[in-house]
Amino acid sequence: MGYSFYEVYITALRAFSGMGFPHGADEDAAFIIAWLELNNLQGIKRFSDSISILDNQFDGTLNIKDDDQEIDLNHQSILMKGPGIIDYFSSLLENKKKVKFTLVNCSDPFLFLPLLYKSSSQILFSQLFFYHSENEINIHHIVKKKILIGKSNKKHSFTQNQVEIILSNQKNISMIDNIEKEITNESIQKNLALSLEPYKLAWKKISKIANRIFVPESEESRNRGAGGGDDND
Amino acid sequence: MLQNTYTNKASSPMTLDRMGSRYPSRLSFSRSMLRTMIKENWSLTRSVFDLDKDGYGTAIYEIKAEKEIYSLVCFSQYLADDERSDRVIAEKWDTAYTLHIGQLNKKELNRLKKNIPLQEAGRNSPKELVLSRANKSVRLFKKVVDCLSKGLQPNIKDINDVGYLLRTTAVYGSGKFGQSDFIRTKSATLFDQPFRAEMLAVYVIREFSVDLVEHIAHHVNPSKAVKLHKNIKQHLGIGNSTGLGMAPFIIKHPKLIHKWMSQFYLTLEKIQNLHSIDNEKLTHFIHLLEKAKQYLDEVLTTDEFQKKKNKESSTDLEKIIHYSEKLKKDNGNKIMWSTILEYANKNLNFDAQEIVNVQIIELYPFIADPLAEDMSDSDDMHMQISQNISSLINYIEKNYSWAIEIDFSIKENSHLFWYISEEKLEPRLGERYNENGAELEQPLGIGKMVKELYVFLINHLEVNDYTVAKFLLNYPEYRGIIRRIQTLSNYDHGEVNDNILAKNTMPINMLRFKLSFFGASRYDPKSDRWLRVSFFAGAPFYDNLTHKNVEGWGFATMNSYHS
Repeated sequence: MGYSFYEVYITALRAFSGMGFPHGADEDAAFIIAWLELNNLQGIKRFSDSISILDNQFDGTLNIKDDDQEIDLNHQSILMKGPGIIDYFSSLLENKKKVKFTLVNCSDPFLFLPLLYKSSSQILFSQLFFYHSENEINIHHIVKKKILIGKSNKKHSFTQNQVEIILSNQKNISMIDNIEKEITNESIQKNLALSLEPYKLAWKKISKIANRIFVPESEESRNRGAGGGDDND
Repeated sequence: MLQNTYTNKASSPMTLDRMGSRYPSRLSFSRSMLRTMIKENWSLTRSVFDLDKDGYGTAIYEIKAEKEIYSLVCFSQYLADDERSDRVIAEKWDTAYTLHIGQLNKKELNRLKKNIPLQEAGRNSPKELVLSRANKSVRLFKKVVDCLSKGLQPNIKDINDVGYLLRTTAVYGSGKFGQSDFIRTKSATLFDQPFRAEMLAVYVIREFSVDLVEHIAHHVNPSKAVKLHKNIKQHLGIGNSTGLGMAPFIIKHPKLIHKWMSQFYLTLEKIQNLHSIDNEKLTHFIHLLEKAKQYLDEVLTTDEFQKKKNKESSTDLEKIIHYSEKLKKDNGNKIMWSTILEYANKNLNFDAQEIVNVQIIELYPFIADPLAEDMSDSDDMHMQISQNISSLINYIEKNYSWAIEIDFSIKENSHLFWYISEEKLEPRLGERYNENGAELEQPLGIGKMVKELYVFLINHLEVNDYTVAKFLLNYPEYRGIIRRIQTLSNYDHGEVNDNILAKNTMPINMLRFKLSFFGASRYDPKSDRWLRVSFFAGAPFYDNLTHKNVEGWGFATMNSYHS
């Protein structure tokens, strides 16, 4: 069954809220999920797979010291920590042309993509790298609402669950050997013209969690709400 | 301190009492939609009218707009009186509709037939722009069928008493229930302005309401039945029942709300910057005020508060009419709009002030109409991550003084909470100290959230030098409210300047605010939480719509029509 982007976003938003994410953090996390789903990157499935580390365990705090360039995420979800990380390092661009930082013990780095896409309206250029295999790393280039996704076929020193992000207000040279996917306004419009089709079981799970935030309507509210009165007038 | 005792909000147009005094204008979406329809020469054709003698079946209206075609599909079915309900939890309606992109083939029509009458329980595709349903006004519908079938016209007084044959109980768009998301609608269709597709659907549903009543009357008595006279027909609007669902929209889309309001005030500002008013304009203005007064004297409501408001506004319109006539006599061509507006602001109630505003705007299409074509804004909110906390505190003190002055420890100031109902996933209001569910409150009490942040910040001086980004590493729970405050720092009209959790809140004021921008008239409150209105009352029907009459139908009265 197909859903609109709005429906995926609002269901994810309610689910995050139902899992204890505070206002604002729930919006960011829902955006990440809905954006990934819109771009055929299985947002709802990723969300569903993370329920056990998210549900009633929200912790968006980060202990980053001024000179830190490496953060140990200890496998805590980017859905909780990601927005704060990107905001913090982006704020350093105020005094620098380029900021580079590394995350270790970072699961599912794809979740950074929507955040970097959103930031691209203010940051000229950003890059996301992470481990793919001994001879390949995943590379993502983000410029002005455009993302190139591909791989670099070179020996590298990345370890599994290690992620590197570069934020820059300078132009950089592409290092992608094989572009596998492009995300642009055109591709997004094309996907919007089709329904989004989240993985069924995952959608069911997320919808069930979203139901937690609903409240049974009181008699008082029913009487004073729309239609309370004569409908055959 | 209780709400309504603030000292600094009197001049804000975004307080609830002012928001609840608004009227439709040239900038309203029903007006700009109809104007576009004429300007771009859209055509409307009834391509299918497959109804039985009782009016049950399917009808399709095709709208040809530039090179595109849109289809308004209508499904009409039998509904017992005891099944008819305006409540959103209803599951059956007299009629159901969708506005579909393109012409329909058999397969698509079958899909819609299965889904549209189910409304929220059905599924739609990105090809659908609007989903709606409407119930008959039983008293008027039967009366009109009866008259027409006997070869008689209904009395316009009867039309005026109700205002419509069909009353919509929901008009959904923008991604709801699988429909096209607005970000797509805006880019892939002609409907690049908010609620324009919805307004087109509502206008065509009005056409259907008359076709339906005439069809049934004809089958009751084929030899005698007549069609509705043009003048009586024109007084019919399309009804709408609206409840709390509209209120959170205003809180959740502050940039859009700012856009609507800033375009309205920009129009007025540009008009005030014009040279003095000539006699002809002033005469026209006086005529428009008289028409509005007549409308207020004629419009029916059962609500005592609204009756009183209408009566006071009518009296106040008399004052401004006399004042304008005197100005005209004494000063000839030297009068400025600012003089009239100043008089209105000092001497009239809020409703009458708004009528003066919209009637002045009515006189200047060359200023208002282009601005009405630019009523959209994105919902994106952006954090100013490098701002430091002391600067954020200044923002709050400057822009949210109305909020930080409220003492939320007084129960009356946090009496209400907004939640989403389990039954139909719709926004509802609960009483915090009398009902369950407050722990699941929706983040709509902006005043309270701002106050909580403000108190935290001034009690934690050690974070004053932090950037917002650094602060949020430690306190991510303030992410949402900080983003909102920062985003709206340059959006003067984005925020409702009142505590919507207060016991004395009248949510209906928010509904009326939004409805005025839609172009609704004939406000008929049924409680403090829902009301009935009409759309397009007085507007020409398509077969009679021309460049000459596409404007000027607002504040329709029973004698507005000429043969």
